[in-house]
Amino acid sequence: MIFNSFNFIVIYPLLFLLYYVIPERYLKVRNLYLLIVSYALYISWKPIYSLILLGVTIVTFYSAKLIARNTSPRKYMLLGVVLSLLPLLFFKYFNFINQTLTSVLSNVGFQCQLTGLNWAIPVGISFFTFQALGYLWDVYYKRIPVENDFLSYCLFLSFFPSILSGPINKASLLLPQIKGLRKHFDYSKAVEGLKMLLWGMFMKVVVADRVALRVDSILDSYMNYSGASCFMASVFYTIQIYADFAGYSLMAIGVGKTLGFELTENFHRPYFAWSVTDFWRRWHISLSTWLKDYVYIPLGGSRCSKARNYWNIFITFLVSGIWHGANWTFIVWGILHGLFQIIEKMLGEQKCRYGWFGKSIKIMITFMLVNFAWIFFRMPTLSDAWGVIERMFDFSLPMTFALTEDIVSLPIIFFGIILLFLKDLRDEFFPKKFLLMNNKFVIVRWTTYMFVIVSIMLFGLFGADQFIYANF
Amino acid sequence: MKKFILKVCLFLAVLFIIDRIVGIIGNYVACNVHTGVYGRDNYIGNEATEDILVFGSSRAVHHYNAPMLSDSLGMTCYNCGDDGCGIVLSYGRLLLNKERHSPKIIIQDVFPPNDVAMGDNSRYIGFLKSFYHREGIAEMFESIDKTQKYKMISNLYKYNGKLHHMFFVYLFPRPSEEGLQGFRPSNSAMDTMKVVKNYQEPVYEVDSQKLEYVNKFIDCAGNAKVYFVVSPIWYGMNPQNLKPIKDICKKRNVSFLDFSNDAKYVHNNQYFHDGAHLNADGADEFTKDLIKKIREDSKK
Repeated sequence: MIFNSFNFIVIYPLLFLLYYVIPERYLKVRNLYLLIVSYALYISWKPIYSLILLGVTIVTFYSAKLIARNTSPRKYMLLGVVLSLLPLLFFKYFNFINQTLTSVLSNVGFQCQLTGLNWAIPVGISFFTFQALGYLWDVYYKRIPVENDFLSYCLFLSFFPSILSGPINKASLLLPQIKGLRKHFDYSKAVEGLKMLLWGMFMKVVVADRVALRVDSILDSYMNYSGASCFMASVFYTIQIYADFAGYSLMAIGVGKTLGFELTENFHRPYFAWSVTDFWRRWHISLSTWLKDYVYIPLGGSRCSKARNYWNIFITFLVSGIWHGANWTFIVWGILHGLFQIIEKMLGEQKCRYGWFGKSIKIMITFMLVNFAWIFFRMPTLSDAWGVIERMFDFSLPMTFALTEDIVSLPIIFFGIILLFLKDLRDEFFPKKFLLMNNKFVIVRWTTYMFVIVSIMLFGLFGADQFIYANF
Repeated sequence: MKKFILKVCLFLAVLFIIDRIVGIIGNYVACNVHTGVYGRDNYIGNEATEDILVFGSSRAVHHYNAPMLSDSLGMTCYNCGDDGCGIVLSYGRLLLNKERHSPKIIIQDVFPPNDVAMGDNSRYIGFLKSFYHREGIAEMFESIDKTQKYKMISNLYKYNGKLHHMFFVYLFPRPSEEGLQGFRPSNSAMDTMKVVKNYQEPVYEVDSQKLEYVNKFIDCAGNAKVYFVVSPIWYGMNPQNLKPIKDICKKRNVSFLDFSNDAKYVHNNQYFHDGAHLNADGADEFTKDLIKKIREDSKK
């Protein structure tokens, strides 16, 4: 369910009330209700694709049971992993593999062409597949006991707040809550959830969607704009993708909280990171934790030679790039992040040993490196990404900003960005000062809520496309 | 739980009061802003009584020299075009105008991305939110997006994205944005950076709702002489994208004048500001050509 849609605003209060109508003692009924709601919402996108979700659920549930029962479970684990990955590989990577093979073969003289697929990718497939694989590996490595209740496991994979764009929840976090370790109604958690929903909505509709209009108009026809405009659009995209994805995650966590669930924290003010390594501790935390636990550490992590450690970092971020999409642009983006971290490690710059000035410089350098890599992430092809970079460094072009043409949305764009920056700055450096939503005075809290909601309704962009990460 | 629900209800009640206050302020400003784009909006919606009305996108605003059309055809003229406007908004504006007035000539500038291509039509109705209470507008909103009738209950939504700008224009009038009888010439020379090299216009998927609005537009025009005009474009245009409107015009016996691939204009930097818009010289030249065609057409 898209949280900034009109349907969500109408349907969610109803779902919420019906959920709490079920008495506390009927835990199974409450879970069944959440499962039906989750599947119903998934089916509303494309009914047939719910079979893929169900298929991955069945495969990983029974594979995990076989793993737990057998003394040599490796083959069952491999079978479960391969079967679970098949839909992801087929829907997301078939065209990419097909095109790459065709072009490689045609370069060596073989002319063959397989028909490409023209099917939409099932929404959230990368998220629920990785969540299922995480569970499977956790059972295999005996980190968690096998789950015997199919209903609870189904809900774990299909839980509607997080199925679209994560967070990728660990079974050790979510399954115990599904099985009963949650209160019937927790007032403070529900209020906290609504605050997160409110701020997440602000980030999405006031910041991300407004900024997106400018980003799209420039980067979709970058050849018509000056280098300065292209650079500005790249910085805006850096802000857009953060506000979009972190905003969504915050809303997902908020909705989870209103239902009494604690989901994984996914963002921790990533643009205040002082190194790319630190950035990955703050950006898409659930994915980077997944990659660390199931790719980086099994490869040997950092408890090996330096060269091997660099290789492990490289492979981990290559996987991250491939996970994000079937396109060379994502692969280059992943490789860049891997290389940045290897270089940081070589230079011993992963930690910050400087004072506030040095730290500020490091934050800015990290921001620029991340910003540079996002260009590859945003553009549809490598040549387009290169085109934008070339334009940014073409000093023969006039140094004009296209921004000044749009006097209506410009104040809104800056209003949103400045507010987001101030909020993150406060959370990062003065967490106990200037409290607004958590102020001890009701009048301050309510004025803040009203200010945010009125800002959303007055300045938000309604009817914008899906969340960027819903495409993964 | 009870406390939670009560507080949510109280929150919604306070929000409702704020919404009403914003509505009162917004309505006052919207009615009393007489310059800039909102002044122009109000003029088109509430006052325009010219004989010739020109509708369309930014291409209409920059291409149709309204004073020249007035002088040459001996009729009053106003250019009602707007940036990003398509047939959907043109119909809405014509509907508002027809409440009090019957123009003699109506010109709709055709631009396939706005008038033919499949897309989200709700972006066009945003311009009409201030006129939601007027006859036919609510039905129009509903035909495009069924949720609009609920959304429009909120005044905050009604003035979404523009209240701050309306205030600004109200406090600091901007008469220069109104143009010459609505016509806003681009007084700059060709900006070659704004021309996409090797541009190939795609063949658009046809939006049946837009074509439905083409028909509604013709119906709404009543006895006025209607011209669907494709004004010049530097790149030239793919005739396939014009075919759906051309077919409707033929069927409805409406004049269709196509300058899109006129050799005089295609790739001629002298007449353009960018790839899609004529400059002031180009607009004058095109308006002269259009006047000639209208005169020829009226003799038939």
